[in-house]
Amino acid sequence: MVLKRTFYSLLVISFFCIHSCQLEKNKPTIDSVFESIPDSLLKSKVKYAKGFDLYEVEKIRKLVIYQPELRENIIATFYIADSLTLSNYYDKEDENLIVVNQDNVAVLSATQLNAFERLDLLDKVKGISEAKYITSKTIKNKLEKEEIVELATNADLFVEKVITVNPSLIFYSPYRITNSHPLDAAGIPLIPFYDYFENDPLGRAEWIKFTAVFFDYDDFADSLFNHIEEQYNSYKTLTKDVVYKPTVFSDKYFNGQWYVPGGQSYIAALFKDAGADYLWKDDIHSSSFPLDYEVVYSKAYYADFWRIVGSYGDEPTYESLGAENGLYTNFKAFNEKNVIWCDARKTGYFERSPLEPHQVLADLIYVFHPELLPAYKPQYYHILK
Amino acid sequence: MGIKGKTAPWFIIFLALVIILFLANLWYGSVLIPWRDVLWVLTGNKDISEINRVIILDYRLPQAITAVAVGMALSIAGLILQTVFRNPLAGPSVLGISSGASLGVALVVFAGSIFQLELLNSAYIFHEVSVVIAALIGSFLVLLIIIFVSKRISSVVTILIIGIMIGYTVSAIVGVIQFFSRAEELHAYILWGLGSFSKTSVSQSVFLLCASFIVTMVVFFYIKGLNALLLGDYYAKSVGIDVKQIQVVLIIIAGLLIAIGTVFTGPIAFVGLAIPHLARYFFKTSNHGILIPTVILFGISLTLICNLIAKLPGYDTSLPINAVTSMVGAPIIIWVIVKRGKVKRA
Repeated sequence: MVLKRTFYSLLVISFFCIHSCQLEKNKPTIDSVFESIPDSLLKSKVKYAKGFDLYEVEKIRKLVIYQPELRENIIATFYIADSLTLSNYYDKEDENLIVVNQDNVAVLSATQLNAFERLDLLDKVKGISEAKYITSKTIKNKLEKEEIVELATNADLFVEKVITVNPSLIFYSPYRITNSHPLDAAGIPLIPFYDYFENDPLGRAEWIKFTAVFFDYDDFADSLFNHIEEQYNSYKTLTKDVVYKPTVFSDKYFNGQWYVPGGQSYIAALFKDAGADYLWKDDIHSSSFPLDYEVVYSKAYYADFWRIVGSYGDEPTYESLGAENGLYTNFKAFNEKNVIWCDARKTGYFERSPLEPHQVLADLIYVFHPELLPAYKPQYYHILK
Repeated sequence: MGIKGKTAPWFIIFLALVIILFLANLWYGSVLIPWRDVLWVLTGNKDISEINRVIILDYRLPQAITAVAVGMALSIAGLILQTVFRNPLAGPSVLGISSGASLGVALVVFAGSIFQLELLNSAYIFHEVSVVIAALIGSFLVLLIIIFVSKRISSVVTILIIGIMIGYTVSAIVGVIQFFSRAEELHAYILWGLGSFSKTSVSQSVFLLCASFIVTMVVFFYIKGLNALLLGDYYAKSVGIDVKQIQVVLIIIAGLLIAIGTVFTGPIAFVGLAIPHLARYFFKTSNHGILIPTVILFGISLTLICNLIAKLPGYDTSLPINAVTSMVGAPIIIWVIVKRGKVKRA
């Protein structure tokens, strides 16, 4: 009797499985919506960023994420729309179909969290990482009230806590989680956020569009980005005709190496747009690379400016900088008191500046060419006194 | 080699080698500087570019002096430990003494994360007295434990094993601290662990050299004791040596030398372990009257050679010194062991 009942149950379940699979196969694939549009008409809404493309057809957004610096490799493709629209289509990977405007997400990248704040989307966020680094008062309040919880630190993700909070989406910085992460098994879609690989300041800021698309906030993001773009380009125009471009070098000697930003890096682009002559502008690296002190010294001895970003509690003085390493006192920029300083912690530099490239650019122009912005008040950078 | 009794000419050759290597360290680097400029800087001639003068005097000179101080300190410490523990594998890292220094440094570097204190920031960290003091306290704490144990347990092998266990425990504690630390602190600590001769200023390097030299000179007073220890406790007692006392004194001297060789530069691997073997093999002797000066000259030569290699010919960057000493030191030990095996079989 029991055996018979089990047999019938299995038969019914199998029938429904086969039937639902056939139903799925009868649906058109979601990508066919985009394939039906000629390439000449299908334009990405992304203008500067190289790490993603965004297409929209019939209220369905297609988000393509590329491997940084190698656009031929597509890392992931997501289709975002309301649940009704999505139910009409089919895709091989279920988790690629994302229902728009979900209200329980985890955001593990500080810069993306800043985008959520600017887009007024913090109510959707239930989990973050590295709570102790957060400078935003709103987020700190939410942490205190436990409306937002910490789900990860630099070292690791608290897997059990994540499963308890059960976010519907997890936005993460890829270097912290590998593809074989235990969360994969939990079935929560993991969405990588590669903004930090963008070397064009406007490209990095454009990732605000990436965040917005998951919540149908595209228009708001577009207006915010257009403002950033307009401001950035107007500042950039100021330095177009400057005759004298002061030379500049960056960062400090650290334990036997001087990590110098590459010639194709984010800060190198800002130096260029700010009308400065970065000493390693012809270098091919897009991130920092180590050099021996004597190489930096022999090249930067006569440099006009020296840029340092740090977070030391008190603002350093020329005396403390010289005491830190006597070798620093040999630079012309040090002796002429032309050290450009940014306190990363106090200004929230790493958290906020990616979405304010126009402010960073204006700060640097104010340093290199103060006559171009006479009444300007810098936000991130200033000359050490 | 059959050169026992004819050591003096060899010492002159090794001394000359040390001088040549020292000058090579001043001449050779990422930036090409003519020989003439090096000689002019050393002789006080002012007709030389400011850039070259600073690179030679403020950057390469303290590095070379630090290499000399560390090479001397660590190799003599290795010789003492191998003799006291009568174990060819004894060395600064094996007894957990450099791990103790690492723990001291870790506690200061990670203070922000562990105690929620902003004692120091990661960029200033290695230039602060607190790191040096912490490293000294850390290494001496381990040393005290070793001495405490050695007063109660006579077996040197047991002490060696306890030293190794202390090293593991300390490394585990540092590992746990690292787990809870911030990214920039972790970066700072890892770089400290890779070692560098280029963190010292001229005055710091001269201080290191003086400290290393003075403590090393003290070891010359214990040549008889060291030789007696090699022949066993009974023999040492029969020639009127207080074995326990001399062991404790020598362990303290070794600890001091390891602390000197670690605090500013980070732990430097294999120098303390490899050099005594090389010296014993070269002169085929266990007489510390010959071994001590040989170990000093070999130790200095090795660190100076490693520093030259670390400067990477033709490149603008340099390698971490610890990687180079390991790559050079480990094959030396293997070579000596293989050669010894061949001699014994013959």
